[in-house]
Formats: sequence, C-alpha cells, structure tokens
Amino acid sequence: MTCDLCGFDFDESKCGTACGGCRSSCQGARCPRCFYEALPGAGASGTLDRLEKRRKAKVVKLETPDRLRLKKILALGVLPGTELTVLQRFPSIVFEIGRSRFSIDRELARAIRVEPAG
Amino acid sequence: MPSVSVEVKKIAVIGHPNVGKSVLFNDLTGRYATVSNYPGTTVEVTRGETVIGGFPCEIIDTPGLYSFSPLTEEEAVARRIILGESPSLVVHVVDAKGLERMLPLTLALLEAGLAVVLVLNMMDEARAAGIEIDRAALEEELGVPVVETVSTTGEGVEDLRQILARETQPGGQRRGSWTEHHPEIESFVREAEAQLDPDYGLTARAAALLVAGGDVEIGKALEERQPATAAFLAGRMEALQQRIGAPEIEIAVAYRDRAAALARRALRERPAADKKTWGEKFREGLSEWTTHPLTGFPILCLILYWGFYQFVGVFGAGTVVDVLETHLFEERLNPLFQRSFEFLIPSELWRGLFVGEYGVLTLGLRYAVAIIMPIVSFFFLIFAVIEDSGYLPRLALLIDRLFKGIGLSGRAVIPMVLGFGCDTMATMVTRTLPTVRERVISTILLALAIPCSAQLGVILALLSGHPKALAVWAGTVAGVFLLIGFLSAQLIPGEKPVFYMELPPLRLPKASNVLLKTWVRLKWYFHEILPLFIAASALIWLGEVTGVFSVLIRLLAGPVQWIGLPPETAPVVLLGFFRRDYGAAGLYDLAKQNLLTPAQLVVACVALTLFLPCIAQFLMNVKERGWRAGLGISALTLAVSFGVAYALNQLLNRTGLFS
Repeated sequence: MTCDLCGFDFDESKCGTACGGCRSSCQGARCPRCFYEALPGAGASGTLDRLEKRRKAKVVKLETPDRLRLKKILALGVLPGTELTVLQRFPSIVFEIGRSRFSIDRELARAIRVEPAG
Repeated sequence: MPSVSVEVKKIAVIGHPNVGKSVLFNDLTGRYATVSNYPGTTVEVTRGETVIGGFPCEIIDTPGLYSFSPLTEEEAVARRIILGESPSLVVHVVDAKGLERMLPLTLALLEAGLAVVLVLNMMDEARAAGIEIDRAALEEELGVPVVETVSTTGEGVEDLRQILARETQPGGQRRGSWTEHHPEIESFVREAEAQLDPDYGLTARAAALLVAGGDVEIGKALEERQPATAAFLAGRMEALQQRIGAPEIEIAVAYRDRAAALARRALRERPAADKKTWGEKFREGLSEWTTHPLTGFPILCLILYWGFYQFVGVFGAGTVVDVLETHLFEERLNPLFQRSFEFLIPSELWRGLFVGEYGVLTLGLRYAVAIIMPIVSFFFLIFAVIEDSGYLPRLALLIDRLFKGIGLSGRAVIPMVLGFGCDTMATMVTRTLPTVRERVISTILLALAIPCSAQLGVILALLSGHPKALAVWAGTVAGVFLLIGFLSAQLIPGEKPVFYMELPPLRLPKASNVLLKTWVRLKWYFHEILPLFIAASALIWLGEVTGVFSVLIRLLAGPVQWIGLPPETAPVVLLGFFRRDYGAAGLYDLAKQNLLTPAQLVVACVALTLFLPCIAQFLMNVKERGWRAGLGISALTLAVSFGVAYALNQLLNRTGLFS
C-alpha cells in the first residue's frame, strides 16, 4: 500500500500492525518510514453498509472470523470479484447482482469490503 | 409369468429455491405424491412415482439448496438425499435467467461424481428478457444432457422424460467434470484424497473439497470414521488457512469463474433486452416503494386494512359468516337436524350428543362450517395472493431491525403473518428459521400473542362497533407481543440472528398458483381441525352428561370473576381450551345476547387472545419443540393471559375508560 501521509510504498503484510498485535481483524498497518497508521486501502474501499447507492462496486474481500456468517454471504453469491450495486441502505441493505436482488442486515454488510468499479 | 421384482430407480430433483422445482415435479409425476418428514428431521420431502422408459421410477422433490455445503436443516436434507439415497440421476433445475449464478452448484454436483441432468427452466421468461442459450455448447462443456423447459406450461417436459429414460438405462454413464481450484487447495485435496475412505457417498475429491471448506457434516463423519486422518487433516487445514484465508472463498471463486466462462460461451443476450419496458419499470418502482421505510409502512397498512381487515374481517367474518351462520344453520339446518334426530333417536340424552347445546352437528359442525371455514378460506386466499406476489421477503427486510429487538430476524415475519391465519400451521413453518433460538422465540410469540384468523375474525366482528375497545385490545396484545419478545430475547441463550434473503421479483399473482396454495392449506386445515371440532363437541357433551363439565365450570367461575367477567363466560374459557377460535366463537354467542359490558368484552377478548393455544397447536408445539418446551409454553400463556387480563380489568375499572 501507499502511505497516506508520506507517500512511501510498502508491503503492508510485512510491517507491524497499527495496534501492536491486539489481534483484532482491523488489519491496520503502520508505514515503516513515517510511522503513520492507516487501514490498507482505506479511502479507496469501504464496507458494503457504507457504499453509495446506485454505484457499481466490486467485492474485494470478505472479512469475518465467523465461518457460518461467511457461508451465508457466499450462499448469496457474494465473493471477491463479484460486481454489485447497492439499491437501498435503510432499514436493511438491498443490493443487486446481475438480475438477482438480495437483502442483508448491517452486521453481514460490514463483513463485505468493496471498492468502486466501472 | 413369474413376477419379476424390478428395482425402483430414484431420481432426485434439486435446485435453488424459486426455480420451479415443485411444478416440474408435478409435471413428471402427475397428481400422486406422498409428503413425509425426512427421518430424524421436521423437513418435508415429497416423493412421487412414475414410469420412465418402461421402468418404475421414484421422483424426489428436495428442499431448495443454495450451495453444496448446507446452511439450514432443509438444505442439509436435500444433500442427504442426493448423497445418502444414491439416486440414479440428479435433475438440477435452474432458472434460465440466472444461469451464471446457478451453474456453480452444477459444477459442484459434477465434481461429486453425480449423474446430472441440467434443466434450464423458465425459458419463456428468459426468452422474453432477450436471453438465448446455446444448449449444445453447454452440453459439450459440462458433459451432461441439458434440457430447456417451461414447467408452468409443460413445454419441454416430454424431452426431459426421454432424456431421463435414456440416462437411467444401464448404458447411461456418469461423466465427471473437474474444476481447477486454487493451487494450495489442489495440493491439500491431493493429500486428503489419498487418505479418505471411499464411503462418504461422493468422490474423494469432492469430499476433500468439502473438508477444506469447513463442511460440518462431512467433518463430523470424518472424525467418527477416520479419527487419525481427521486430526492430520485438521493440521493441514490450519496451514492452508494461514496461507490463503478461508478456503471456502477460493473454492466458491473457482466455481464462479468457471461458471462465468461457461455462461460467456453459451449465453447470447440481445442488447435490446437492456431497455426496460414500461411494465418492468413500474414493477421496479413498486418494489422500491414497498421496501422504503417512508412508503413501505403506509403500503403495509393499506395491505393490512384492505386485505385483512376489510376482506377477511368485514367481508369474510362479517357478511359471509352471517349468511352461513344465521340463514343457513340457525334458520334451516339446525331445526332440520333437530327434527330429524327427534325422529331417529328418542332418548333425549343421546340426542344431545348430536343436536344439543354442544351437539356434534349443532355446535361442532356449525362452528367449523359456518364460522371458521369462511374466515380461514378468505385468509388463506389473501395470504396466497401476497405470497405469490413476492411481497413477503420485502416485508421481511422492512421489519428486520424491529424484529432484532425481539431476538428474531426479518425472516421470522413469514411464520408470524401466517400465524394470523393458523398458529398451528405457522408453528410448523418456524422450522424454516435458521437457528433454534429463533424457532423457540417465534413459537412462544405465536402461542401467546398472535391470534389466528378464526379468532381474529370473531374478535374484530365483536369489537367492530367499539373503536375504543378495539384500540385497547390491539394495544394490549401488541404490547404483550413486544414485551414477551424482548424478554425472551434477553433470557433465551443462543447465537444472534442474522438476516439474509433473496428478493424474487414482484409479479402479478397467478390465479392457478393462488388457488392451488389456498386449496392445499384449506385441505390441511380441515384435515387437522374438523376431527378436533367433532371430538371437542363430543367431549363437552360427555363432560356435561357426567357432570364433569359443570364442576369445571364452577371451578373456572372463580378465576373468571377474578378478571372481572360474568360467570357465564366460564364455558367460553373451557371451550377456548379445546380450540381458541372455538372459544372466540362462544364469546360471539354471548355478546349477541348482550351479556357483556364493553369493558368486559375487551378483557374477555384480551384473555382469549393470549390464552392457551388450541389443542392442535399444543400438540404441534410438543412435536416441534419437545414435551418440556410445549408444556412450559402452555403454562406461560396461561399465566400471562390471566395476569394481563386481571391487570387490564383493574386498570379499566380504575380509569373508567368505558363507563
């Protein structure tokens, strides 16, 4: 990733985590040059629950330690690389993949990391 | 000629939910089908017999399956059928419009070494959407027969029969088709394959993939049969996860990518299809209105008011019941029954069994046919219309947040709404909920605070002249629903509910679907309740003749007066024990004689709504949740109904709201 502060390019998997090993799944990384702490891809990507409506996005990662939740997400056909469009965010999230529509709650949506596509 | 016993071949029909599996099943088998619980579960599986290519075949209609690794009990049953019963053929039905989304399951089935026939159903809708499918290309790539059908019109079903006949011949062979997975997974699979016993019902490769994907059932079987291998593979899996994260993601990605490549080869979409017709735009707009909180709740209120209050309550429970009850039974049939039985049975005692105050004909049959039947039919009719339109999943997402507060996910809205028709049937439907905790909470709420249509119809008719009384009744019952739901969510342990659901497109309900669903449910309902009505009448007659009934009424008169009701309501409470709606109908009789003040009417309606479920629902609670939970729920409803009725009576007397 590129450091948001000093612009240094580094491999986030090789540097120490921001929170000093609290073992949470936040995956924050610390720039080895200026020690600025940030989430890899923050700014460019976000989770599905915060995605702008009607904007095509691509799933980049599924982030949940709970395998049962992961399976539910996979069962809907949401995988890394899947393109989707959020149609509604409240009271539940509604999104479209191809011709199919699905609805999930906020907790599941938080586990789906997406980035703008197209 | 000596009789030759011919082995019956099994053909399993599988696929995603809402792809027309059951209609196709009916096309193949005709009308003769048996529905039974899958051994050890509460999931229903439909089996039918037919002759294909001169051989008797058993066709099995399995519950909907999203992926090869099951999440719910229903999905688990579908997989147990295809793996455990070794069907000669697996017919995978897909929605031709969503080929790319459904092909990954086909690929998993092929990898498991199953003999698959792929059915592209709903071809009419696909063609209308401008989709053309190159069937030959698909057949070539997958190495299995592919058939195009429209199950609702029967188009292509004859072709399917011929292919089934060909494929079930001894010559019909299994052609596997492997999907290339992530290199790390491939090396895990190679290692695991060599050590797995061949008796898991599928290829060692597919078993190894399921193990890698964390499949619970295969994991358990492995631990039981090959504990050493299980321990070894557990270590390998940990290393695999360290390197590539959860393997199930990579496995799904591999199937998805190959399905996409297949679809690119076989699908041709006319670009014109992108232009949406006026009708499609309208449907999409409507779909958004139903799920937007600002428009969704007013739409819900409109549906409740016109569909349920006006159609079921005012028309069904009012007008139609009045015609049947007053004009048919009280004026014509009951006098006819009484005259005929005076002639047939001279003994007054025995005559009472049939035509007395609680007679099998004059009470049991009258309640069942004149009061309950019209209300329940109208409810099931409107419910089928709403169900077929695709509105229920939209209601589920609208209500999910509110339901989370009472420990349920939006999915539970389906049994809850059905409960307003028949709580017993709704309790059975709770099995579609994903966690035990959700099933227990919804069973409690159904038993306690959801009045069934028969009850609701009578209560609405009773209170319709008193808007204040109606408001107090509805407010109290809704309050109890939320409070008990909230408390259950706090007290009952288990994992928190997660909401995920597919939203099928909204569509105009099909008359044939609606009528079929209404008919099947009505048949089920009467099969369950008519015997109970008759038995209850007979029991009450027996109780009356032997004096037990009057003792019980005297015993009940105390608690009844304690909640501020006249002693005449004691028999109603007793009737309510047999069936809540039966009790409600009894209340209707009392109110017609002007025996109750408005305040007493409200208290009686509240008590009866919250009261112990009818015998059928009690038995269903026991069947679904076990004896302890069944008895516990009954005790809870008894305590809550009397407690709330007592408190409400005190409150109404103190505030003088109705005086």
